[in-house]
Amino acid sequence: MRWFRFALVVLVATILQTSLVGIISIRGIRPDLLLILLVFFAISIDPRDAIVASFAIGFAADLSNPVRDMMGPQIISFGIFGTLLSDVHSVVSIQRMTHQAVTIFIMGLLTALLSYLLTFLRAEPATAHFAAELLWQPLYSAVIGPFLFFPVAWWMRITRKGRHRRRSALR
Amino acid sequence: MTQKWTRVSRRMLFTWCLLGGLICMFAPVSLTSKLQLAYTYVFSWPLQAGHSLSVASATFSPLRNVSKSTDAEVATTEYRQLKNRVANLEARLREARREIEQLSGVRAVPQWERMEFLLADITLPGQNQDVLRINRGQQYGVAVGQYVMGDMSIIGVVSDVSPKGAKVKLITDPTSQIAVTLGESEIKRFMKGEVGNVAKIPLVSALQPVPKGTKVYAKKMPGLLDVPVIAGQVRQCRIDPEDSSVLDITVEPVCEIAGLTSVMVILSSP
Repeated sequence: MRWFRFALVVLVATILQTSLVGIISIRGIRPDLLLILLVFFAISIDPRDAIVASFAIGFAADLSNPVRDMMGPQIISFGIFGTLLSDVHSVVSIQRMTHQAVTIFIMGLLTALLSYLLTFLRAEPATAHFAAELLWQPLYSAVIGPFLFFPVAWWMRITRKGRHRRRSALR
Repeated sequence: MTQKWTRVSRRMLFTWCLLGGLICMFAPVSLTSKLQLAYTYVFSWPLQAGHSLSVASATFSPLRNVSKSTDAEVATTEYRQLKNRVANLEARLREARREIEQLSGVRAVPQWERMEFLLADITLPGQNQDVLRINRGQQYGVAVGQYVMGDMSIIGVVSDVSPKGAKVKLITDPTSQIAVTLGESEIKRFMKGEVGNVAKIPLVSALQPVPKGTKVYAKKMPGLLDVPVIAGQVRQCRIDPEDSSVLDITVEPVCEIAGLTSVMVILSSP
């Protein structure tokens, strides 16, 4: 795992998420670049690295766009579901673009749901944005996510062959 | 180093990371918000540039259609600012009249001139539009509790401050609460933020009519705000379904917060 490249791509995604992604927002709904990265790394890298990567992406998400001004809910939700997805990928193949899109959507649903449930522990969650973040944002991310996998894979020097090798090694 | 890393079992690694997440979650908000402020300070340039580009692209397409639409249909930023300026002047006039009455003709000093403003750029707009981060902090005299204006109207209050940045809690934030007056009446209440980019004014008697469109002013607070300044307008007013003796008043901001790139912090009056 190339951690320096990983840090750079997460940093760029975090900055873009809080600034420039607004350009492609539709009715205020923006794609979640960090969610797309979470799915990419969970299905592309070594399961041990995937744990650290998932929690790190969750940390970036909490830093840039905290739920109800709190840090922690997204670290935990991204970490748990990223690790789970990494495990699931060793059994179920997620190679086709449609499968990747469905995975991004489901992961978006689950991480948003867990984040909001966790905010109950510290504060009252905001329900108005909940529908948007639970449904529309994952949907938008699912549409563009698989296309972003190619540049990220190129940057991380992760080849399709490498991903297959990772799966067969796990078996 | 690599050997040490691989020796740690996946389960242990997961537990450590999860523990880290829990520590972050239960750490005091003052600590974690400092971390967020540090992030906005370090990356203020790309964040600002990106936000400005985003706002520019959002306003570009509607402006292209201006010539095709009638003037009444398109409310430009300048129009909104002028409208709010008029509302503020109205409030200032009322305040001046009251003072004149009270001081038996002694001419009041123009209140706005006594207030000191500080222009600050927005470095990180809240994605859910409840909190903003700005690039001015303690070094410029920004302090917690100071009012923040956008498009000549009150949009929020400074809730957290670091040496070079500050966090602004918008009036629509569910945890926000500011003292307001309703229109020209003497009704003074606290306005609480609500989800959905609105705010509510509770405990207003149902006997007092509050028409739709009534202007809501941030109440004069000596030392913080020398005159009432417009903060919103009544979007909906109905009898509270839970208590028929009071009104359920919904207020919307008079400022297009999403389109702002800079704000003005009202520094404490000298």
